[in-house]
Amino acid sequence: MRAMLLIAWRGFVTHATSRAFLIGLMLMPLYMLIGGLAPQVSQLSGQQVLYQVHRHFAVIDQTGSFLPVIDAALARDDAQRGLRALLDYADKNVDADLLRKGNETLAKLVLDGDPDSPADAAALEGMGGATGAFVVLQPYLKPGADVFAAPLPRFIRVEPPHDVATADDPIEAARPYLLGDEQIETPSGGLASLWALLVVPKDFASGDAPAVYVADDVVRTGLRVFLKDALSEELRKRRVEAAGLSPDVTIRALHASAAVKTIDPDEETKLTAPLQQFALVGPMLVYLMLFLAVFMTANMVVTSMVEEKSNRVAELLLSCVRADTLMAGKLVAGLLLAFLLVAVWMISASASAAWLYPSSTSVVADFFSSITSGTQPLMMIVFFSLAYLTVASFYLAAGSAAASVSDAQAIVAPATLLTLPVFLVPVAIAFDPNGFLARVASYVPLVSPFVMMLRSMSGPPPTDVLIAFAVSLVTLVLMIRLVARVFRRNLLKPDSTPSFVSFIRDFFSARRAV
Amino acid sequence: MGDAVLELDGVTKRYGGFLAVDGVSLVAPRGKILGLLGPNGAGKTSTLRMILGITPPDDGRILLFGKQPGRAVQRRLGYLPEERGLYRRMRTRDTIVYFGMLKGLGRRRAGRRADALLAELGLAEVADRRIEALSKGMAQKVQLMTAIAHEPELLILDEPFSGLDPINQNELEAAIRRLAKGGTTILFSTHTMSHAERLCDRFVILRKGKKAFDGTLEDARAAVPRTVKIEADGDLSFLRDVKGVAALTPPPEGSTHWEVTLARGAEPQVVLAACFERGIKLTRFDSSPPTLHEVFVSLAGGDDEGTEP
Repeated sequence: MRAMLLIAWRGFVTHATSRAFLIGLMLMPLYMLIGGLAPQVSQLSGQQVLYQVHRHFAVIDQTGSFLPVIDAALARDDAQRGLRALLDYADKNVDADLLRKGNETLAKLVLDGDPDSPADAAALEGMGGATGAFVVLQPYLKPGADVFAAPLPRFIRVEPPHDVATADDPIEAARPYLLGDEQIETPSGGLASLWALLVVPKDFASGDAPAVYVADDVVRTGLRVFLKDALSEELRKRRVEAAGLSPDVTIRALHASAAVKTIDPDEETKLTAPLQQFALVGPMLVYLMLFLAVFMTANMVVTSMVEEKSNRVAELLLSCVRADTLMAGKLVAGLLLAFLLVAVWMISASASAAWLYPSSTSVVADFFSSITSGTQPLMMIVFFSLAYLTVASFYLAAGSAAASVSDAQAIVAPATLLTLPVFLVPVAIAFDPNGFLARVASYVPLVSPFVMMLRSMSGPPPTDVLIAFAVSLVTLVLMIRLVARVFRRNLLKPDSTPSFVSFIRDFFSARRAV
Repeated sequence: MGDAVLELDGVTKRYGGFLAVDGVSLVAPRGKILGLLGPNGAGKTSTLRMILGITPPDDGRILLFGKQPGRAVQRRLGYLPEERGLYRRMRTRDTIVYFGMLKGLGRRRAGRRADALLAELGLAEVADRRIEALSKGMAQKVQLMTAIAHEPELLILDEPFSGLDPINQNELEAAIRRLAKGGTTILFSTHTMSHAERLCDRFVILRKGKKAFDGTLEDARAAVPRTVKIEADGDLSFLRDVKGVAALTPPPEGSTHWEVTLARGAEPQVVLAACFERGIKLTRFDSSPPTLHEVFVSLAGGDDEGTEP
């Protein structure tokens, strides 16, 4: 035992202080940081899109009656977006109590308004839009409040170029503008590409001819949907009128929607959407981290073994300790490295989350407290160890049989690729960790410890835990026995370079160890 | 043998269909230096690995200190393998301490032993240097220190002199003598006959996995027919009929060098006397006993596989 621990400790210290390991150790937190920053960067760029990128489009209305409808929809859209921005702004920057006391109407709009409500949008328009409302808000702002920047329109209608408007085939005539070969003049006097052209034919209102939407980009459909909705609403209105019904009453009736107010029981947390998603995908992220740690450290074990074999230290070690002790020392060293990796990664993940999203601290704390309460951490450690030992022992056998790291990889890589889908099963059951598939997978040798690593975070039934533990343990014992045989047989063959097939054949052969 | 440190009885080892060691028996008396000689592929390393318990024998029995090889006796052994290998990034002193601890020493004691050995073998100044920064000779000395740090009772050296320059060979030879003088039993394999001849009390010669000889240098010399080298102008063919002469090899074309092989127990003087009687004028008469190299060549079946005089 002492010799095994000595070998394990030396292996651990040597690897843990090696440049390669430290780089691997730090890369993951770096990736986490980048991953955490991405949404913020994306949000920033999203704001830039919101404020700076416009879709210029033209309409050729051969009916002569739909253009005002589209303009009205554009104005409403601007008002709704303005109200949404104003609500966000007011949430952070307005002294709510002061505002409620000082200007009840404005308070109702910017604190309790509904951006999807046409009435609220109309009320905002009545105040001169979001910018006008911001001017009125000034006396009620908190000290040091940010300056409000009203969102600019996302869609801007321009007059169709003369040659397009007068062409027999306006769609063909618009082609150079849509492809960017020609530019159109914008309302502000600049030049821009034409994003889309909408042609509303004469017979559109009767339903005999469809409107035609022409755009080079058919993937981003925001403008198309917007125009279709605007036209549809107008058509509905006209048909209601034609049927002799009251348009106002009917349209209001059609727009009626059930009010559903969302209340978060944990008002303190105020989870944002990404954090709610994290709470859902957290176990899967932790699992992937553990999974990565298993394979990373197993690879280190291979490298270490091949090095000791190729630089002839193996024989010297075997003169001091038994092959089984050496093997156990290697596996334990890798296990310690795996624990170190996971610990550093988890701590850095929590720190990154707390730094980038301060409000996530409680979520992360809740998440970790949920998995560190009761027997769950013990289960996770046990199944993580079983998963690691199962994989690493196979890798170690490959290392003992190979003359070089590349030879070892030639054995390990196909084996890993072959078994990767199996080890990724837990990803498939991540959202239903105690469902039928999860339970069945828990009883399958090799897959079992991986599935249980994930399931241990969701409190599986004790029966499942016991059966999975038994299956994993028996699998590991069998694996270790096979590996030990291969290990003893190959360790002193410095020039052996088996192929993947011959290694697998050798691995499962029942020949007596030499 | 009552005071035997090591006993092998009919030990056999096969690798697949290849018979590497074939029923070898030998005894290493306490405090002696036993040479295990043989050409490449004779089974020396396989025999040593079985003694060390690295590989088990397929047949036969090995006793170390009167016991079966196992963890209890493993710590009483020291081993210097033929293929030298150390952790390149490890520091010299740490290396000795590490292997000393693997052999059962406590950290402090291993440290003291490392310091003493580094001083004794003149490497104290490189104690904190990494192995990769040492010369080959230095690294080999460090490797020896890893083998003797725990003061083994039986030290097994597999080709200890290979790759060393003459100065380092002499230093290693002196170190082996000191260890033997201190009571360590030493078993070393080599095909460098000069070292074996100078160092060993006894020899075992292996040939194609089988034991071809076991005994002292005198026994070895007696085991092979003695030869007399003669240079003379006349015809010495008459020597074939002299009693005590087993064979006569005439000189090659253009040479006057005759070689006379004596029968077992015959003295060289019978050849000298016969030449005087015939009035043959001899320019050279060399009846020195055979060297170990000659014995080796005779018993191991030729030096075509790398033996060095």
